[in-house]
Amino acid sequence: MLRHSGAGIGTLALAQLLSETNQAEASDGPSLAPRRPHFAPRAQRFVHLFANGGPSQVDTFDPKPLLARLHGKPIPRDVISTVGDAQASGSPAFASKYRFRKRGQSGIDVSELLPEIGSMIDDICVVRSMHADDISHDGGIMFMNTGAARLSRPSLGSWATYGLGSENRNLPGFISMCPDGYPLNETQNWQSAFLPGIYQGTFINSKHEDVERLIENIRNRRVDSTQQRAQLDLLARLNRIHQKPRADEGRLESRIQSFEQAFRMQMEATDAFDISQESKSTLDMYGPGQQARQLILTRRLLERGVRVVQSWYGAGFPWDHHGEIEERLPKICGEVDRPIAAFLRDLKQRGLLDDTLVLWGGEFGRTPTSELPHPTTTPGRDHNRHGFTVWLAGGGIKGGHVHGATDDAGFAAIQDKVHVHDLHATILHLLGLNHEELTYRYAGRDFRLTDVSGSVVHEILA
Amino acid sequence: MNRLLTGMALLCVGPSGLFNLAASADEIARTGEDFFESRIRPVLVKRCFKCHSGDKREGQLRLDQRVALLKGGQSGKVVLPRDSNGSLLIRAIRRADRDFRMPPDDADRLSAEEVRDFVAWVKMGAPYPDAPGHAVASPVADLREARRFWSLQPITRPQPPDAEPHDWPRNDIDRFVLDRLTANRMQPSVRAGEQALVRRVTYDLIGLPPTSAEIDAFLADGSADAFATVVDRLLESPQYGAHWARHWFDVARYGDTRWVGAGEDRRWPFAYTYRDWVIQALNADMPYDRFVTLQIAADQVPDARPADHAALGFLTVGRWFTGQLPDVIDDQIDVVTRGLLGMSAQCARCHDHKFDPISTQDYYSLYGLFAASRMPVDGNGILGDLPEVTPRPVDAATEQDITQLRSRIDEFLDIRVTALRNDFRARPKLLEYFRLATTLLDKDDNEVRAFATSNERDERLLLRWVRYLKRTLPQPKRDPHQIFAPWHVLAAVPVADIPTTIKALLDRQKADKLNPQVAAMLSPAPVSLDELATRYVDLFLKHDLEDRFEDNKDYDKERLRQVLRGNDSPVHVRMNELGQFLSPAEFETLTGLRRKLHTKLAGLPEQADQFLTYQHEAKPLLSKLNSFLEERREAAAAAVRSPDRIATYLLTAHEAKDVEPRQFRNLAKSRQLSPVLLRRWIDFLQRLEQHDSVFAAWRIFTADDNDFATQSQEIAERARQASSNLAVVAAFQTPPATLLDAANQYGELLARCHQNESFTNADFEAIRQVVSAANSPLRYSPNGVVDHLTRRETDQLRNHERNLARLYLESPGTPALAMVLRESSGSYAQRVFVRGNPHHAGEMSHGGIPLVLTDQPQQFTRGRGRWELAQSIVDERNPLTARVIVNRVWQWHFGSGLVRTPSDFGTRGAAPTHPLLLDWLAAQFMADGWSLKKLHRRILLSSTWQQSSQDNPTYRSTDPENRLLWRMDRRRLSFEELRDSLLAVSGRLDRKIGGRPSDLVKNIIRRRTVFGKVDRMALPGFYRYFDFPGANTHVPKRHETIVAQQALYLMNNGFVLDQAGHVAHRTATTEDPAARIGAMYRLVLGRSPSDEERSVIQEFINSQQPADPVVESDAVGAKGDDEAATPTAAAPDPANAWRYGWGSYDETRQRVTDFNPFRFSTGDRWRGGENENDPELGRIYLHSRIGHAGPNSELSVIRRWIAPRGGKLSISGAVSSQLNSTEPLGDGVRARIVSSRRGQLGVWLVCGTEESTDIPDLTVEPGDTIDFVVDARGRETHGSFAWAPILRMDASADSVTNEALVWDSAKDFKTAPPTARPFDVWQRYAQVLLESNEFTFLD
Repeated sequence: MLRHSGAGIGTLALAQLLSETNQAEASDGPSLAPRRPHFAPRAQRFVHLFANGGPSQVDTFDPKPLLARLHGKPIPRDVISTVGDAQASGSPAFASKYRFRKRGQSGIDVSELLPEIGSMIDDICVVRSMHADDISHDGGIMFMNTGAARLSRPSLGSWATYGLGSENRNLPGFISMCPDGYPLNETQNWQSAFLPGIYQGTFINSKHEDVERLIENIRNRRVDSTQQRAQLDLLARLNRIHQKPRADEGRLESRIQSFEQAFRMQMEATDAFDISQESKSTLDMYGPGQQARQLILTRRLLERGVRVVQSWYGAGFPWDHHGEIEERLPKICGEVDRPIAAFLRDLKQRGLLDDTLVLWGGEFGRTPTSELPHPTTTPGRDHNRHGFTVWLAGGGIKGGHVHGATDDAGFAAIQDKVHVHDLHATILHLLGLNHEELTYRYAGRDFRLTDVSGSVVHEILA
Repeated sequence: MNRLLTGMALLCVGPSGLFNLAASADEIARTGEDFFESRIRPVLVKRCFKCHSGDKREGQLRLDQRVALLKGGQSGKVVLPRDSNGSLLIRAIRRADRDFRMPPDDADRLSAEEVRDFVAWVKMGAPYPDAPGHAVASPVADLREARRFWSLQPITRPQPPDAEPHDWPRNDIDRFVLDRLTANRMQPSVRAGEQALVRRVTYDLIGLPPTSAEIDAFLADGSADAFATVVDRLLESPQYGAHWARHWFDVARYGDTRWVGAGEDRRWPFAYTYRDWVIQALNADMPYDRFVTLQIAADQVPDARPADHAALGFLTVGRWFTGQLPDVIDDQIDVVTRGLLGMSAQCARCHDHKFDPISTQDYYSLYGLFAASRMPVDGNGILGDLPEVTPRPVDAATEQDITQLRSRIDEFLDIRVTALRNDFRARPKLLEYFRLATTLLDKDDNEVRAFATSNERDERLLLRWVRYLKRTLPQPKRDPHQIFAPWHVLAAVPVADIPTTIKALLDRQKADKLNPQVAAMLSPAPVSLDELATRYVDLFLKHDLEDRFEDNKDYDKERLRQVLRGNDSPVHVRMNELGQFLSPAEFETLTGLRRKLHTKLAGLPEQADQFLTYQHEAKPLLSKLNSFLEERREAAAAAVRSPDRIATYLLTAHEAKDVEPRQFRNLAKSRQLSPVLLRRWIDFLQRLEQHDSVFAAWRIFTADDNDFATQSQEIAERARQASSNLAVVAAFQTPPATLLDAANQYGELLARCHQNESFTNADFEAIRQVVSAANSPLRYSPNGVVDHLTRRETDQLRNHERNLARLYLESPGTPALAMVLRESSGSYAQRVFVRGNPHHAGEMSHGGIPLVLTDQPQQFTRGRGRWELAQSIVDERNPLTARVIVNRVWQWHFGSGLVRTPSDFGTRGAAPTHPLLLDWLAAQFMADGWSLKKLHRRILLSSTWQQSSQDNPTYRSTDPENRLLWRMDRRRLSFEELRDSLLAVSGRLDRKIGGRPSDLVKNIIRRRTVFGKVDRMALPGFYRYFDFPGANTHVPKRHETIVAQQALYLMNNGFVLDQAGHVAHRTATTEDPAARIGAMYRLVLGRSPSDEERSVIQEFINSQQPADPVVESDAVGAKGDDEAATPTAAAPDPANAWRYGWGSYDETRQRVTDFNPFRFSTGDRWRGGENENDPELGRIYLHSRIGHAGPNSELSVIRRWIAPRGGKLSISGAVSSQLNSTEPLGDGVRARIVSSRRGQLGVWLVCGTEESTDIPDLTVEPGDTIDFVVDARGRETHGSFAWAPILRMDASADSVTNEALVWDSAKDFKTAPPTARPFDVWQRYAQVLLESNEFTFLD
């Protein structure tokens, strides 16, 4: 059939061949073909809004009135438990400047810094009892992404695409976006490690608007589309001749198809990143700025069946407020509040929120105490891995719910503690994957995302 | 619990990461579980599990699970939690009952201390974590049993079987393979076609496609050993090493960068020397045992060449893990165990391996070995002390000559700049210009200049003061200037108002953030502005003499210091500003000196020139680093061995041994002791024998119930009696009044006895031996100095090293240095980290190679340990090493190994498909002297390898994975092979071996992929799409995927498009379309197209519209080729003779070897790309008279003249660089005139100078090229130049016009409007061939 050259017929023939390809690939080692999960999933796709740097919980989602009373004084030992990193427990209490209000039907307290997100609180489950292992940004971010602080382990997105494949064959299954450069740890954050390279996240610098700079090799300056179609038709004919005496080799067919897929990808990708197709009302809802743009892109990718999207706040670790927190935190919250709320609303309006799992949070939280005074800056808060807040929304999540609690100072999780491994187990669970069964044999051992621990937090499931 | 606590060694000796780890150590709860893990489990494993674990349940008792243990056995419950006396287990280990003693054999009895631990444990309630991974008896318990596993049995040399048909086997490999096939009623496939074979073998050995000539030669060779000839030729090719090294790098997780903390430079400066060493070693067929030995212990191998030190990159070029030592070492252990032994040991970091006989003991024995080795970046000044791998490119005399010239220039500049700075900083001058400038703040630059001239002041100095002070004037929306705000305010008020104004200022000082020193200076109020100015100047001068204030609290002092010392200070003349202060005469002197230097340098090879520049830059950095280290070493040695320090350590060690980690650190800090050293003291005292004669007295002194106030006599008496050492006894004849006294006495004694020479006095000698022992805290080696640095000193060291590293990385002349390991002063003694936690040390490890590999455990010897490890790995009796490597080589030839888990020869790995063949190959390999090339030859000449890849549906259904080798497996090219092949068929491949890594993101890089930079932190997408491994850990076998991104790369990537363009270009001279179709096909696929293929292609060519003609600088005027223009009979337009581009100059051949016409023009100049700074070509450009040089001779800017006719030619002109710049910095450019016929005609080096470039008399033939080549001597900065030569041809030579012909490069200069360059149909066809399955798959 492919002997006929010309775009129309060639394309038609492709559609038929596509189903064959899936078979060929399925028997042919690693692929991105969709795979059946372990059990019925609650979410089809997952998006991680990464507040890299470690947001302060006591200024956002975990109000602690006690701090106002203790402000400037040490926190008594009976309030915060004996664990303590460095100065965290020794420094004076540092009250939040921001008022909390009960929002929505559920009446969950949300800081005045995040009024728009507050308006969506009934769709959100706030987990106030997170805790993590590593106190440094590099280790903490790595752990949040891969379940290991230093060793080279596959990222959550890689595990998910390994387990589930992708619904869209013309786009990568796992995309990580960050405006203006890499977050700390760079490409290791979305590494596939020992999993095959196709499960590695594809990085996109969402600052760019030109699709060529968003996705590698998506454009050609020297061969136009019609000419390229003719090239691919010639290629297919030569490949068929080559294939004839090698009919047993599935990979030859896979490769023939990969060119057709690539050809379609050029259009699909252009389309996915073309934000000008959005209506004015949508654009208005998200508001201006990089965060808004990135979240619109995120939605467009999710709509097209990309399995996992990571949407980083920015390069490096900008939520790291050791000093000047009172200047920097309102600014950063102001930038994300409207776009994130719009994103949730948008997913909801399109019926996507039901089967899209959204996670917001950093690699750890911050201390309820002030960081040691510094001559040139106003105070901030130090890293705190013992207690911090993340929130989830969408597919399978109990909206308008608060899970767990920190101590009265907001320092350490004390009730219904959720470890990062537990969070991972829960995310995989909602995607239809059993974290203990999703394994990969490497170096003589079956590895999994949650190492030898992690349990699903059933209390937050709808 | 004491022992447990003191065992908690603060392991992290490297400065980085110490704080992180130490912080989290705070919260390690000392729970019963931890106690169990450290004190109980090891004993259970060692003494009990042999009979009471897993399936072995003597007396139906199992102790390897909490449940089972509590359940008990035949005799009932054995442990009653919290009731130690009632627990049978305790009775048994106490051996209380004659007939109920455990373990049964007296020799195995538990020590009293172990028994006490068990009692304590039962009292705690017998905590026993039943977490997964903890409850299993590992094979470690029974090594004899474990050694029965196939891979741990000795390698034998099996007899090759006698299999039918006899005519198939070409060598013994085939007999083994055939035997397995016939046993399964199968037959091997036929031999592959000659065409397929030569392609397959060429890729297999050198990773490149065969050229048509090579194919033809093989096809024409009818001799019986035609194929062997090809194999031998390929094995001799230097490209063999380049290809096979890449296989090894998957094992060695090779990478050029590392994971560092934010803000640090992640490039490994010299990883590439390891890469080059591997390539050379493979090319030289270095025996594998030596290959391995050098990679583990080149520094300990006596006959290693200096260049062999680069081999240590195997251990050093890993991922670095932001300096977290336990992870760095884990990675080293992994690369050694999985990489060389096919055994994974990483499991044993936390617990005994569950399936293989590797224990935590084994793991931590290796850990101790590697922990005692330091990597260059780990401090120690090793960074400045790396062995040079390549010989210096310049002789000593020349080096000295140049160094002297450079010193003279430096000295000249230095004297001038110092004189200027001192002059400008003189107090009267400061006062004068400060006051003067204040009156001129409303004037612009020209007015200031005019004022200076008419008042005979230094114009430039005054201008600097005015500009500086203007920046300090009040600005809207900004805080007032912390230092100068009062000055400006007070200068504007009447003198009488000064006191009140000052009062107002002082009232507001907090709000205005006024510098406190300035505020203090304001009172009492000065009576005049002059007095205030004097106070200001004196305040500046007071801080001017200080060192930089580093502390945050001295911030305001530092700001004041910066007024005179800062980079923007009006009186601080920077070297690059010096030019404007030089007199014409001084300029003349400087130029003269430089010209002298340049003349000497111009004649040197580029490499020598750059090396000398490096030397010049490195010298001050190295000397700073070395003197810093020297000082620290002296201080550290004193700190370790002075009597009062010893006393303090002794006392503190006594107090600190039981405290919590955080208090421990505080204690060390408050006494200003090194926590590392303090820990060593504690460990040292702990490990001494109970009856040790030297410290027996100390033990008495430190007894808990001592009361020195009342019993000093008795204590001293007891101490004297306890000690059998007379020197110690003598020291305490006078009873010490306090414990401090006793410590001081010890300090004196130990300090006195610590020396290298032995004492004749036996007592002193005994002390000397104790305090000089390997683990003594008094032992101190210069390499261990980092252990003694304070935080601030560590930062300083880091700074020095960073500067040096930057130079290493950025100076083009940096010599190749080896990334070595050096033994540090630490011993190999290493405790097991319980559950992998470095803050929780358990028992001592055995300190030797993994026990399963040896019958007689032997501890590594200090200073020789890595060598001993290497010896045990390459010992012919080691069952794993040879098997593992021959299996890898097999995999790299066949796609799969005989063992299909090449890095896991353990019980969880795959069993060999051909166990006898594997052993035979391993035995033969060792018999051949571990020669890899002989192994290749044997494999490649076998019928097995030469089989066709044709399908056999029946066999495929029974053996789909081709385990029995009934055919050859087809394979996809690797990423490296694909990219290299693209370059090979486009005729652009640069086959040079070795050197610094290139960034393959740049399409102009034509080197083999193995020489590309492997940035493991941000590997470009195309590597990953093509399954190039992430380089973070050892990779046993690559994945092979086929994804759309691979297709996109081939369809759209600029590099691929360039190669397609070149393929088309290579056949451009073939005018007949049919012939060109065939020529391109052969070029890419190595064979002629079939009729069917030909007609399909013909159809494609016919159906396409021809593309627009190409426009580039190549075609500005006449039509011409890169290499030689077609001369035109008459040359009406001289502009037609010129071309503009970039390319490389080959020093040895003295020719321009690669000319690329510029493609982008701005309308008035040609340049590298659309932007001024092109990502690939940088800032290069050419204008009519000026230009910007390329960075080096490989990427030079070239103005080319093509002789339209023959004749006698003369060239005149002058080249200059930075001629009118007042900045005496930079290193200028190198200009060459190169003739295609005669090579280099002249070379000049200019920097702030001008040289005439006349070539008086030269005969040229039509079509000859004369190139004007400019490069920036290795650095792109300061690369601008001016050069507009004029060429004249003798009039008499011209018979047509009979007048002189002149080509004036400036006048003739032309550019074209930039145009996109669409592909023509041939280029599009070429690209299709590069995309084809045939190009990517090997039959």
